[in-house]
Amino acid sequence: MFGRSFTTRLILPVTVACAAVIGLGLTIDYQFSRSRILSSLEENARTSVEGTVTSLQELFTGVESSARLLSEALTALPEQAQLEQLARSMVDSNPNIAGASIVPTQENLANERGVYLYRKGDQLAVASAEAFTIDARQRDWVRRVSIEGESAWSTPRPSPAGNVISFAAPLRRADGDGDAIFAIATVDLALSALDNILAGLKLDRHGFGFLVSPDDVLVGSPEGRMIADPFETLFPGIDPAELSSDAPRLADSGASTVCPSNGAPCELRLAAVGGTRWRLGIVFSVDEVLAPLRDYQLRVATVGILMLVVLATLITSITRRVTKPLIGLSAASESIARGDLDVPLPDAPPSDEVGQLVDAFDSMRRDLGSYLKTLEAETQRRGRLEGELAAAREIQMAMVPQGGEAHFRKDRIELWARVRPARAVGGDLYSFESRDGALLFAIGDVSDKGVPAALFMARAMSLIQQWELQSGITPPHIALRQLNDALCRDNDACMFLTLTLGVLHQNTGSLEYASGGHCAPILLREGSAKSVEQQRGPALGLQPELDFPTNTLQIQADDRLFFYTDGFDEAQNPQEEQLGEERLLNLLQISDGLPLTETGDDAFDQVDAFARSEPQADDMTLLAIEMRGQRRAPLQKEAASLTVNSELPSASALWLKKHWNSLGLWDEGLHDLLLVLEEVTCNIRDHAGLGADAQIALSLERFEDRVELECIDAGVPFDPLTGAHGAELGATTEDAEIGGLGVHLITRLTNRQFYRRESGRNILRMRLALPEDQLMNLESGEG
Amino acid sequence: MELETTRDENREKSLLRVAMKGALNTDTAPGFEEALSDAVQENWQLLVLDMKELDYISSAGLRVIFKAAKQQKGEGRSLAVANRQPQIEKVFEILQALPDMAVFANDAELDDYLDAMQAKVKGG
Repeated sequence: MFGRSFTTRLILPVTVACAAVIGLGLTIDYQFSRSRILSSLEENARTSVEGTVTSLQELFTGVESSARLLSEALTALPEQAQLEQLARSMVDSNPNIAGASIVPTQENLANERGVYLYRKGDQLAVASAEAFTIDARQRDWVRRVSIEGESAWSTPRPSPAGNVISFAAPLRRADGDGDAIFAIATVDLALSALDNILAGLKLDRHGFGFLVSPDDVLVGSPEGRMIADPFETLFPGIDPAELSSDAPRLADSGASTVCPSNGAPCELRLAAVGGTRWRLGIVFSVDEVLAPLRDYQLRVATVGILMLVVLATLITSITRRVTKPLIGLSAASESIARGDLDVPLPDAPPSDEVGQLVDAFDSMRRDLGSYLKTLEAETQRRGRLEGELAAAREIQMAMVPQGGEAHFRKDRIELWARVRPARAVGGDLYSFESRDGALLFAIGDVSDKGVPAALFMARAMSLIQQWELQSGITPPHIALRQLNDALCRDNDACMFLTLTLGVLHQNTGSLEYASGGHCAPILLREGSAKSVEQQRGPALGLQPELDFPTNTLQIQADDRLFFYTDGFDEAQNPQEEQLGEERLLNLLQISDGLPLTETGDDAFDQVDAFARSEPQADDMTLLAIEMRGQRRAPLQKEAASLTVNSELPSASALWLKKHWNSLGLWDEGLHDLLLVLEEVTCNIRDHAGLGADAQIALSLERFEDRVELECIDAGVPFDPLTGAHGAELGATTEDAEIGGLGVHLITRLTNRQFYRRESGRNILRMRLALPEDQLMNLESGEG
Repeated sequence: MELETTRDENREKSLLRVAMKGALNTDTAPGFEEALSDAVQENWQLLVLDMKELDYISSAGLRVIFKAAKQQKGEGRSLAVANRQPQIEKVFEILQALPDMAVFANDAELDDYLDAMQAKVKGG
């Protein structure tokens, strides 16, 4: 990616810059060349026109002067032989003269003679004078000359010597009543001679030159066709007088018209033929005239494009050669990123910057390689260590009953315990053994944590288990003394242990316990938790041969006793506040209604919630003992599964009414619980995202002092107590929200609510305390 | 349980009394919402919900009443409730429902209120 874009970024601008330079150069050159070409074309045209004009001038002047010479020389019609001689000399005098005649005027016809001589091949032929004379006299232009007495040119006409135009001059003699015209001399000018001259004027392929007679008749015979049409016929709408010019230039004012030969647009110019009244006309196409310029343009463009292509190819190849090592380096770095450190690096001349980059890259690669090897070794070592620690944790957990979390029941005694080390292994411990009608238990905390604490804990565990298993029950304070003496031996590291040992006699409920520096237990009795006052001895392992005081406590039915290590009450939150005894008492009190296992879970959860992001600093252990009585066990229980559909709220309400009544409970309670159940079931129906056949589990339990409603659904995790939006209460009509009331009904109509998520299910339990009169009813009912 | 409503129109006083019987819960709320919405659109100056025979009201039901009260108030009119049974009153109290809404404990209070209103109109 890098290489391609980098190369492109280099090639594109350089090529564009070169193209701009070439384009600029060629444009400047073109501008100069163009004006040079134009002026050269102009010059050529002018030279050509001027040459033609000169030739024509000579031709016309020659013809006219021949005729005029004759008219001045003759005053009377000579003899026939002399006439012929005169005509012959006129024709001979100019190779462009195709024929000449001397024709008597009408009045002289009877007694005078005429002659007509014309070229026939290389010879001169004499035409039958009489026939020719009559014919000649009938011509308009000859008649006009004889009448007006002015010499004039004819329009093109055929003659025995080919197509010609003729000049006629009157021959006069002095008479009684002034000049009298006795004959007309004509001189024929071969059109082919004119065409030879005009042909030299051809400026382009379709254009042509022509003559315009003094009578504005267009004269010419391009390609052998004779033209003798009025100017206006060929170029309608153009006045030749306006176009005449003494010094013709292509750029002069002319007229744009349509070329008569091919119908293409073209330009028309006229130039006076000096000394005569003839004008030279030129028709040409600007496009064709400028063809050399266009050829030049094409050549310039072709050369420019060729140069650009060659340049672009060169730039591309040079750039690629320069960036090739960089692209290679980029590819290599991608391979290295994927972990292939042995990828070959591109070759580059070691002297330049790219070469230096490749060298630096190579050395980085080597360093990376050796670093990775070190890292790998380190990782393996750490993995081994972690593996060992995991094994150690397993072994340590195997030392405490039921692998770190224990639940035990026998008769009326229920025990739950859990140890949770702060690191892989820790120094906290618990243990218990039930035998001979008594429950022997221990909870302890080794100073420090981690591996040293774990090893000392292992030593203590084996000694504690000896106490638990030795025959007869050694009282806790005696056992503590023995343990202390044993732990003090060979304890150069001065590790120590706080430990509480206890013996609960199941039948009597009397508890005997002794503390070696360990904190006092918490007693939860009749819904209220408090720390038990205790006599406490020193921590174990520091000084041998010490005595430990004994404590006794009478446990009643429904009592709960919690032993814990300081990891609990000293748990910290990010603000470095400690949980403290008060919060601990409170959280144990709150979960009073839950089964013992759930209370234990809840205690750990609550501490974690308090600590938030703060990691567990110390090992934590909780050991809870309950003497089961009537209070926590439901007296009656009803349960049902209901299908989640639109009828769920009404079906639930029916179910609740039916069983509420059969349990003989008070009406107001039913009304409140119906409201709560409607909110809960509506929530599940509308928001749990359950399928069509899903079911919810409902249970209604009546305890000695309360009723509990539990609702379990497998919907999306949702705690209605904290997750639901609650509208602000007490708002006036304008400000009141529509909705958001349900959660308030749940929390205000029941005394306590418990939510937990377990095995993909939402479990919501709501407790409603029995009013005083209902308690009375129960007692009287039992009584 | 179902909900039955009975309308008692008093055009002279521009008063509509809607007597409710049964339960206003998630099932009956949509129907009642419709009925109440119609009533609101009839532009009664005072809309009284008579709850003498209403045995049960849930948050879904209160939601409907909140909505109607808002609409009435938005038009410069009123919505009042009367004759609430104790359990209904309890729900209103728990949810501190609309402290500015007129509540009549019995018909006599309602009549007094209407008389006072009329006197005020005449006096004004």
